[in-house]
Amino acid sequence: MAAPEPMPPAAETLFEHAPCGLVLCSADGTIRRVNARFCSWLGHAAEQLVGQRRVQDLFTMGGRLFHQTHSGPLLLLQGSVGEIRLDLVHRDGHTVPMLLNAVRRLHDGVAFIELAFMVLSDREKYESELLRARQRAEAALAAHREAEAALARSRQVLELALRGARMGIWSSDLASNTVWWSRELEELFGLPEGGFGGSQAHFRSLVHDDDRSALATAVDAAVAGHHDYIVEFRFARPDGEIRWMEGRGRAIYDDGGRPVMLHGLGIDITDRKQAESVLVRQAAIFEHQSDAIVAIDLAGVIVDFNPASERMLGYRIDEVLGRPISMFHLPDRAEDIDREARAALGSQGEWRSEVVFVRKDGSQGLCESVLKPLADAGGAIYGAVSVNRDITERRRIDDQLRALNEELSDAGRRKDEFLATLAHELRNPLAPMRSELEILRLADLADPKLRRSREMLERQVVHLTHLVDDLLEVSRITEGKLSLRKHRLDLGTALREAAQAVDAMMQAAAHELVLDLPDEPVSLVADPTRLAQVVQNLLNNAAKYTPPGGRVTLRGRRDNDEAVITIADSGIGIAAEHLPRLFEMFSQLDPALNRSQGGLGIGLALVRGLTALHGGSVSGRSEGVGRGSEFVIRLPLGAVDELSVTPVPMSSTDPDPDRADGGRSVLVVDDNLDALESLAELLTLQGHTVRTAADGESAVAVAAEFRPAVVLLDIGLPRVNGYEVSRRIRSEPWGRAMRLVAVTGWGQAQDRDAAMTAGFDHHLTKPVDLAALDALLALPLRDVAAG
Amino acid sequence: MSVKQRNNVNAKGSGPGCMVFAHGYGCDQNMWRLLEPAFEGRYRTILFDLVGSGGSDLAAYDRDKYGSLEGHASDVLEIVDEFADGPVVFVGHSVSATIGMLAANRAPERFAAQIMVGPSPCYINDGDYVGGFTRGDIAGLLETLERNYLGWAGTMAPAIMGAPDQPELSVELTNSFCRTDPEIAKHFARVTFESDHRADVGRSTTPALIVQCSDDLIAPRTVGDYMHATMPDSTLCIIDNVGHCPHLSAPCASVDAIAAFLQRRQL
Repeated sequence: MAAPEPMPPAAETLFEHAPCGLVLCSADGTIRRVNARFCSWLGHAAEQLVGQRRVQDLFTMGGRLFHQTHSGPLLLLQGSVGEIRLDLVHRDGHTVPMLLNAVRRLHDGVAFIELAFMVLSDREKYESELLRARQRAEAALAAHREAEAALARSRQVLELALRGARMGIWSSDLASNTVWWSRELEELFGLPEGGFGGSQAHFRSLVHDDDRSALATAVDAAVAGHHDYIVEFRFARPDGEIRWMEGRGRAIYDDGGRPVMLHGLGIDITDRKQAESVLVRQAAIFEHQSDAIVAIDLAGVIVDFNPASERMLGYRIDEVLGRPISMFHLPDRAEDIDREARAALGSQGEWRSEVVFVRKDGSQGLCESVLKPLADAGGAIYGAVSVNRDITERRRIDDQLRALNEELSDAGRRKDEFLATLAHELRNPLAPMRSELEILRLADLADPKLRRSREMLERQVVHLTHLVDDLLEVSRITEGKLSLRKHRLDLGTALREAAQAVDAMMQAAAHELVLDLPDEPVSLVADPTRLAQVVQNLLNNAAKYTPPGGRVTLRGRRDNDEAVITIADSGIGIAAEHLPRLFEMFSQLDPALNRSQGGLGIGLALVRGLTALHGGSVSGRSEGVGRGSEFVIRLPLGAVDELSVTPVPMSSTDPDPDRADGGRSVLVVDDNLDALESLAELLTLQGHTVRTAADGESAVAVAAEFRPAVVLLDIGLPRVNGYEVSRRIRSEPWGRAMRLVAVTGWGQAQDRDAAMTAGFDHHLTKPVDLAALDALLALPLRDVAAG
Repeated sequence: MSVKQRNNVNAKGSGPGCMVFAHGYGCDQNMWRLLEPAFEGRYRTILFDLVGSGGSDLAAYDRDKYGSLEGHASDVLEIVDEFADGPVVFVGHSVSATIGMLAANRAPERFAAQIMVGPSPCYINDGDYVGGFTRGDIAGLLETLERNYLGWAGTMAPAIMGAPDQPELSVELTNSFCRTDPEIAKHFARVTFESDHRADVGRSTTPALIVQCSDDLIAPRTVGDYMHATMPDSTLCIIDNVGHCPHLSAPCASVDAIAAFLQRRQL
């Protein structure tokens, strides 16, 4: 027979001692049944729980909250929950970590909750550790990611910085002899990405020939010496451009001290090199400039001072830096200078001035200053720079020259004034002398001795008059007071007339005068009087300086647009050494000869002056002493518009044939009593009726009463001058037809013009040419009505 | 991202009025499964998930915005604007009662009434005020939350043990239920249990029904009394229920209380 199967334990036993805590609750959680396992786990007796407590009251507060918000609703909604982790509280108070499964079920229509609990001590520990490990791993991962991100960011920043600073990095593995270049370095060398070959050889090929060995030496020394190297070298970019690089690097060594790697930087310093060379050049200019250069800041404080400034001002640079620029100015000018300079900088952008400066030793100087503002790259003004040239010496010399010039011109002017005054004064005594001589001539002198005496006197007076005239003319020319009255004339005719004028003299000296004149008319514009004067002067000289029986040739011809007049003689000639100074005033050709022939030696000076006024020239030639001389005058033919006056016939007006006895009523006015008396007597002898006056007022009075036909008026009268007399006479009805003749010591055009303007009809210069005076007096009388 | 997607909005029912159902802390709109059907015949019913819970878009969970319940209140206003035609009856459970109150305070014209199921304006004791908990209790909740997320399989229970008496439940439903991101769950727990909106209670002018459970750990009687005393226009209705979810554990009594209130107010 088989053994009977063992009886399984009763359900009750199974319930009580199940390997998990079992609890049965009503819907609200009240415990209805609880097994022994559950009770022992939590330290409660069943009687204390059943019907007494709700299962959720055994949870911790956190557990209760969780149950109310999560597992409770879940249970309600889906009827079961599984593997809920809750802490329960032991009767002692300590927490018991548990895992719970639960279902909600209806039994006979009433809802019950069935819960199964497991204690989780070891698993709790394990889970806690796992949780912590996971947290640590997550934190490590997060930190790792954060570090990676930071690294990526810093790498980006580094790349930006490198690129911006024109730097590139490289490293070289010495064992494999390979070189790595960063992208930035490739760009600096103008290579495309990946364009660097990765070898030392490639790098060397890009370095400038002349710099290769210096670079290699520096690197080797650094590697051997365990320090960094810094070396500048040139490299070539693919387009051929040569640029500068600063290479820096160092080696990394293994445990044995052997170098295993090199790494470093390459910096493109081309811009810096260019800036350096500009700076070096500028510094050289600043240092070696001979002008003083001073730089100041906005407050006027000195910030730079070149060696030339040190020399000009006598200060060393360390004595002036930080001090105001006004230290070099005169104290009472400093403020004004500052103000002027700032104003000029503001309105014109620069200030140029001459400034008095004070040196360290207190002495002063003068400099030419140019002040300009200094602006930075942004255009903001941060100071100013002045360049100063010391002109003290130059100014002193300039001042001296100017003073000298003034002295010379003063001297010249005084000399000219003296000569003019002298000539003018010399004329005065001549007038009465000539008058007396005329009287003597008219008085028939019986005594031959007296006659000879008179003739000699006459000749001397004439000669003296000529000398004074010449002197006066030359003075007028040098003073610029001589003007020409040009007319159109025929060269041949003018020369013929001049020859006629000296005919008597030529005959007296028994010279042969040969005329060589052009066949056809040669028209030229010149002052006829002056031309005659010049030609006659030279003919006179020719006659004078040729021994009697000689030959004088007067030639005239046209040469293109010039008239050429040649006066040649067979006379004593001119020594070569005298030729250069021939036409200078007072030049002594031959003192003895000159004085024997008479004259001051101003004739040629006058000739030169007059030809020059015409725009022409005169020159003298001679083969030598005793070989004769030749003078050549060249005058421009002149244009039509040069004429100042329409041609006037040379001949004087014919005397009025109707004159009965020819006598006129004449009023002579002159404050020089001698001249007055002698002229009056002369005129009386000539058959005129003469009255006199010695001043302007009486002249008008006498004229009013006497009603002369002609008035000879000296202009230079005291109080009321001759012009005024003329005006007063002309303002009277009886004075309008009077022939008024001005007699002056000046023969200038403006004097004639002034005379005409004042109402004069004629103008004579002293000493009065008696022939001219005769001609005037012979003019027909004028009707009062026709005046 | 539409409001519908963000808050997993489901609109059902039909009727002149509109009821909005807002779930409480810990779960999602599925907890209205027993209550909502009672009303969808007469009202248009709108169910949704708070952002961070249920089927809402977890990516929209902005800690700054949802660091205060006002963030959820703004979402409520957007949902009401978009899905309702007129003033709504807002049914809010637990923390959502407070959220609804904040929304109604902001835009009273959009709310006809508020049904507050197990509400509490402040959970932490403060002087004479008994909220029911200390800060340490809240910390305990957070710890429990953390442990339960280590290998959370709570929602798989029906797959393991079956869903007794309720075979109609689908696996999808149970899988989504209460599943959320652990960090969001902890953040939301803190925001909910550390909030203090007592000051807003007195400002609430929208007619309110306070559905108070007779024995509720999370919304104790003292809190219900406080709210009733402080809210200007409130009705207190005590339901015989142990627990915090009368709409789940005492659905009929809950429906009756709500329906009576609505009828009295002619809503």
